[in-house]
Amino acid sequence: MTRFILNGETTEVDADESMPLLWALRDVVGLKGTKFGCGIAQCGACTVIVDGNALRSCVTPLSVVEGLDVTTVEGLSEDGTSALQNAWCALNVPQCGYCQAGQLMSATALLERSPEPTDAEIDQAMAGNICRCGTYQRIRAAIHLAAEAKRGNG
Amino acid sequence: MAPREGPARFTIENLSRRRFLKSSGLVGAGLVLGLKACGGDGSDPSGSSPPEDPGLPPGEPIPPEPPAPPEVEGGEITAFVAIGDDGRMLLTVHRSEMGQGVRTALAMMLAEELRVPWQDVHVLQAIGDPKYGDQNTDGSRSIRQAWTQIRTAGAAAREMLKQAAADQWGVGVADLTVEGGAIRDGDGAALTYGELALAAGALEVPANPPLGPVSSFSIVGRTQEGVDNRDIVSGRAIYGLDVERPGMLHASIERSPTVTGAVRSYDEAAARAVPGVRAIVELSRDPGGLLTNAGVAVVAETTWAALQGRRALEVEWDRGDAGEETPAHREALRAQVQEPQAVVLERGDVAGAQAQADRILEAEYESPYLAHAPMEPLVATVEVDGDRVEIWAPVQDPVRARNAVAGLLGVPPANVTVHVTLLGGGFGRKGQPDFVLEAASVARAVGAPVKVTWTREDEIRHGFYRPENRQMLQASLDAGGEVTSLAGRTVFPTLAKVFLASAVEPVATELDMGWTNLPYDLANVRMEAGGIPSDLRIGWWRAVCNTFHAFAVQSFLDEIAAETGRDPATFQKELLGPDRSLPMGGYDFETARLRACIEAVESMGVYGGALDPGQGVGFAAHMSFRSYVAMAMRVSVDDDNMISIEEVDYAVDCGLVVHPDGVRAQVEGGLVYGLTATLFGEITVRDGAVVEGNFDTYPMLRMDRMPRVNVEILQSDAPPTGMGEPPTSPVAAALTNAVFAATGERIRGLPLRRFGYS
Repeated sequence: MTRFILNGETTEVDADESMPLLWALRDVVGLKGTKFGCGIAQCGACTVIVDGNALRSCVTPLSVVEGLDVTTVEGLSEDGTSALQNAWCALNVPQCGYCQAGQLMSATALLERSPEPTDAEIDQAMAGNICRCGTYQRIRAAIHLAAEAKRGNG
Repeated sequence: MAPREGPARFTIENLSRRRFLKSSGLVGAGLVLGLKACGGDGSDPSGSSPPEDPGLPPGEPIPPEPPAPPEVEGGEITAFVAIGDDGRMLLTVHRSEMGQGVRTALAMMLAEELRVPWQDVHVLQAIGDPKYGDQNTDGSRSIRQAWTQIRTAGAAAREMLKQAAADQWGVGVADLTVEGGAIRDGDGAALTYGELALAAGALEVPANPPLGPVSSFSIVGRTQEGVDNRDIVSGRAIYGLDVERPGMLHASIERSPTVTGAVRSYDEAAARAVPGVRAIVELSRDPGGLLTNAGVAVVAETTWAALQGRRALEVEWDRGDAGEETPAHREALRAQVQEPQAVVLERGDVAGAQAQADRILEAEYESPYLAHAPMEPLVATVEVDGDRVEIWAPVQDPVRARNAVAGLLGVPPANVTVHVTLLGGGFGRKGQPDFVLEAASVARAVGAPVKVTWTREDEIRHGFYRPENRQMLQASLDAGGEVTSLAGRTVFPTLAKVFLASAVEPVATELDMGWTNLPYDLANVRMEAGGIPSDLRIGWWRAVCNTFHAFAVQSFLDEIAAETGRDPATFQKELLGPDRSLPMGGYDFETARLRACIEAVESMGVYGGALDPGQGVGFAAHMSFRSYVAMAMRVSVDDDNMISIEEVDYAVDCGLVVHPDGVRAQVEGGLVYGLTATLFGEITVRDGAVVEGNFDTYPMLRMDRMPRVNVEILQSDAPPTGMGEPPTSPVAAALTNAVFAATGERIRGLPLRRFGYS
């Protein structure tokens, strides 16, 4: 039994402790927003935030998050209207959308530690997330837009 | 050749009294119109459906899929437009959404003619059913083929609602106006669509409802937020991977590394010993080996348990007679382009022109096999209940999947329901039904709903690849450097292999992609084409044969310009000659439209801009899928041959634009898809099996290499054409031409990393 905080709520997961967090979230807890893309921490589709850091859940054994604070895309906001989510919608970032949960998690972690990132910081923080549809230019713009919106709300 | 696509032939049927949508719970009683296709517009110019003229020898066995079932009652209804008495407006979209924005664009067309706020139209995804006509989502043709139909249905509904209001008020329709989902008279009275829907449903469908003039459009032609955006960013959108059924089990399949292989042995006990594993199912290769390999499926309570069990199987394979090796296959291609191939286009006298030439330029180009790598690997969920089958899967061609599964399980196609989820990318790969067939086999064997999830390695190693290929091109020049003839040979494994294992020779639809449909105003032209066997499965990969034909031709024209000291874009405009409409057997190549794209790119900034040492600009222009594209790319190359792609200008003409931001997104995405392939993309084969396996060995372009992209959409009143593929076609040549401009080195093979670039 592994206990951790998932999107603000204490959660107990009864599964093999070596099971990657990705599959525990999807198949055991039933939260499907976190996606599988490669299984070897190469693409970032499975990114979640653990204690403030973006982390590839496909290679993170469930046991690692014991007692920690885990946020998935479902926990970004109540109704899908965080500053980043709004910016993603306003700029039509998603094409197929499959990688975007992972992109949003990496971007969320970035804005937490660097509220007004430069393009170079964005490129560095987001280079672990592959998008086959090629939405990179819009992701960059949307991160800037969200940073601006957060500053405005300030 | 695909038949010429005639004017859209369809009728609008009033289905209000039939219970078509009521079971969906989305619309109660009201006005329901269906579009009934009458043929003529379901043709496939892309070559991605079974070819009209596949060039197959007579007497060969037919493809393994059963013929389409007879029409269901009511005929082929390709889309539904429904307005409920609660005022809800619904559009059934029969094409698959894989990021190209079709659900958004088609709904925009309907909202425009209904003259309602954009957000008020709701989209329902159609199941796979022949009643919707052709649902195969490929060939960049969804917009082109739906443009008139959906607007006509919307206009018919609007006129019927207007008539219903006129009847109720006892006035003429000429006295009424339509605004914001209501009909209004001159005195301020209003009836909403919801209030009128039942009465409108009892009326006749008007024969020729007036379509709104382009000048009046307030939704079409403007940027709108994608219909699925909010679900995507909140994790609520349902992809194939996210399907959940009561009692569902998870499976992972170890497949033969070669398409010809068979299972020799495996350790069933070890796999069963993994906690959570429930069953082991051995799968045989499908008859003919067209779609699926032999394999062993491990069925378990979770995906992870299935993967662990699969690892324990340690399957031994008889590899069969597949033994392709990449170096030998490339050498065979090289040898074959030295030899005459079938002449597929000839005009004038190339030999005579070459005999009189001042000099002859010749070059060869080669491109490798490519896998698709959609971010969502292949996945399908199937439930078999007696002779009824239900499927949930991210498929581009749900009817093909339905018929294939019906054939496999021996049930009537009408008993097979295909629910189309969102696709986490497709790029042509998800038009193949192999992954659905496998899931159906496993589900039948275990008697429970089963989701089969592919790993990334499965997807890279068991693909339907963009064919490995080679071209030879020759141009004769006179003393003044003018081109007097063009000759070319292309050799590649044909896409007809999708339907017939023994097919070798290319078919016309493949050559109509950048080989026989060139627009250049040259008196002497001879183009040849030949096929070559392959031990891999071949499939449609974004922009299909355009990718390698445009690489060869657009590189070669750049070489001629360089050799003769001419500006590349100016040279290409000269080659286009006077503006002409060139009939290509199904469509016209309008050279003025390509010229206009070239001229637009010349003035956007990148082309002709100031350069520092180490920088260079590459140019390329290509028409594909009836859309016209010109591009200029600025790169810099450092001393370690590291390429920085700095800025890219695109000018595109895809006719009247439904969703401009969608067009820009497809350009940005098509560029990234092409850059990834040109820099890194290479599938190699050893002993008949694919070597690469995941993103570490089949790398992708990432954010830190993303250039700035500028898109100019040319104003056009031509009918809309697609943009899902055309932006990808010229990318490889634009990049290698830019590398030449920056370094003086001409790269004639792909990817660039094979030649020391990164």
